[in-house]
Amino acid sequence: MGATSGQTFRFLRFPAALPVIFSGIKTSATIAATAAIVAEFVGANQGLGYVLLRGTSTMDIELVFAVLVVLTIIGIAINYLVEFSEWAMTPWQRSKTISEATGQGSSAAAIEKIHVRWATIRPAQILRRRSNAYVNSKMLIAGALAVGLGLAASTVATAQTPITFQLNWVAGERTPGLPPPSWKAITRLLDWTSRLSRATAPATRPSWSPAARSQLAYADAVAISQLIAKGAPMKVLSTVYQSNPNEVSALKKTGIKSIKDLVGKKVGCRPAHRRQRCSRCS
Amino acid sequence: MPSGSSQTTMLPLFLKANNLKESDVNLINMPATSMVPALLQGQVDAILGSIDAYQIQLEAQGAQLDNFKFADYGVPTVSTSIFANDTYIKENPEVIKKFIAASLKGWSFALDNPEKAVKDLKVVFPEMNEKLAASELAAIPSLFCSGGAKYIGKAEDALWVKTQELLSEVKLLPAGQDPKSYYTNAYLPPVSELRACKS
Repeated sequence: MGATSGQTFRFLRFPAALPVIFSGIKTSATIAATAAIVAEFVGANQGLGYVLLRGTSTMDIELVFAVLVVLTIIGIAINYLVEFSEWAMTPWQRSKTISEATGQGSSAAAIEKIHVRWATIRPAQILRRRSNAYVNSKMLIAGALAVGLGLAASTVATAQTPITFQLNWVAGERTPGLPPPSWKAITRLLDWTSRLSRATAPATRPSWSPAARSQLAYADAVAISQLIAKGAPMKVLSTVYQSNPNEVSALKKTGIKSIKDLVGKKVGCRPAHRRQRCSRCS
Repeated sequence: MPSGSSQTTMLPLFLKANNLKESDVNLINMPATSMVPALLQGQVDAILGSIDAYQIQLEAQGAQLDNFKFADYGVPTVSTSIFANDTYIKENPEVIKKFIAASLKGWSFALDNPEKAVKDLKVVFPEMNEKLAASELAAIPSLFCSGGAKYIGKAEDALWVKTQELLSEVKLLPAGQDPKSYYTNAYLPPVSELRACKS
C-alpha cells in the first residue's frame, strides 16, 4: 500500500507490539520497586528499605507494617499508572477487548483491522495520533523516573567537598554517631559551613579502599588495624571508644550472677564468618 | 557494634580471661536478628551481646539483665576511632588537628548534655529515632574511659599493646606487629586540652 518499511514499523508493527510491551512493563515496574527496596537493604541510609531494616532490627513492628502498607500502595499505584498508560496509548485494544468479549475477535483480526484503518486514515490524523502517543509515553517515562528516584531516594550521597567524612555506622541506629556539636565546632573552626558534607556508610562494614573518597572516618580500631597490618597506608588518630562494647547479657531470672555461672549454659552468638559455627572461632 | 564478626572471634579471649574454656559453654550459632528474641523467649540462657545495641533492644522490651562487659572482665580492646589515610594526614595536618579537637569537644559536650546532643543530632539526621539515640548515648559513656584510659580520645600505649597481644592470640591481628604502627597521637590536642577521665 505504498508504505515504507519505516512507516510500517512506526504505524503498524510498533503499535501492534504495544500490548506485549506493556505487559512486560507491568511486570517489571513492580519488580523495579522491589529491587529498589532490596538495594536499600544493602547500602542505604535513607528510604523505605532502610526504614524497614531499621524497624526489623529494633523490633519496631508498627514501623515495619507502616512501611509495608506504604509499599503496597506504591505497588498498586505503579500498576495502575502502567495500566492507564496502556489504556491511553492503545485505544484499539479497548475495542479489541470488547470484540473479544463478544466472541468476535482474535489478535490477527485486530491487526487486520488496524491495518485497514491505517490505510484509510488521513495523514493529518496519523500525525495527531502519533503526537498524542508521544506525549503519553513521555509522561510515562517521567512518571517512572520520578517513582524510581523517589524509591531510591537516595542512597548515594555525593561528596565533592574539601573534606569527606565517613561514619561507619548508621547514626542514631547503633551509636549516636558524631554529635552535631562537633559539626558546629568544625564548621566554626574551619569556616566551611557551606562546604562541609558527609558521606555515610552502613554499619558493620568498616571500609577503606584507595578509591574511597573519605579522607577522615570513624570505624572500629581493630578493623582499621587489620587493614594497616595488611599494608593500608593509614593511621588511627584518636580513639573514642577505649574498649569494645561487647558483653555477655543474661536475663536476671536465669540466675547467672557471675561468668562462672555460664558453664554448661546455652549462649547465643553470631557466627564469626558465614557458615562457621561459633564454637570453631578460635 | 562496630565490628560484628570480630565480636564472636573475641569470645574465647573473654572466656579464657575468666578461666573458662570454650567447651565449658554451649555456644549456639544464630543470626543477629534472632539474638534478642531468643534470649527473651528463653531459647538461650545468655547472648554474646553489646552495650550499645543488643542491650538497648533488650531493655526496650522490658528485660531485666545481668551484663558482663568485656571491658570489665579482662578484654578491653581499642574500638571506635577516628582515622585517616597517610596522604591526607601529610597534606592536611592542620585540618586533621582541628577536626579531632572539634570532634572531642563534640563528644565532651554530648557526654555533659545528652538531651541537647540528641536534639542536635535530630537536626542532622531528621529520620533518627530520638528515644533510641538517647538510650544509645546513655549506654556508651563507660566506653570513653575504659581500658586504663587517662584522657577521652587518647588510647594509652599500654592499651594498644594489650589489644595487639589479645587479638593476635585469636588471629584477629597478625602476631609480631608493632602496635605503634597502627596509630599516632601526634594530631591530638595537647594533654592540657584533653578531657581527663575520672579515676
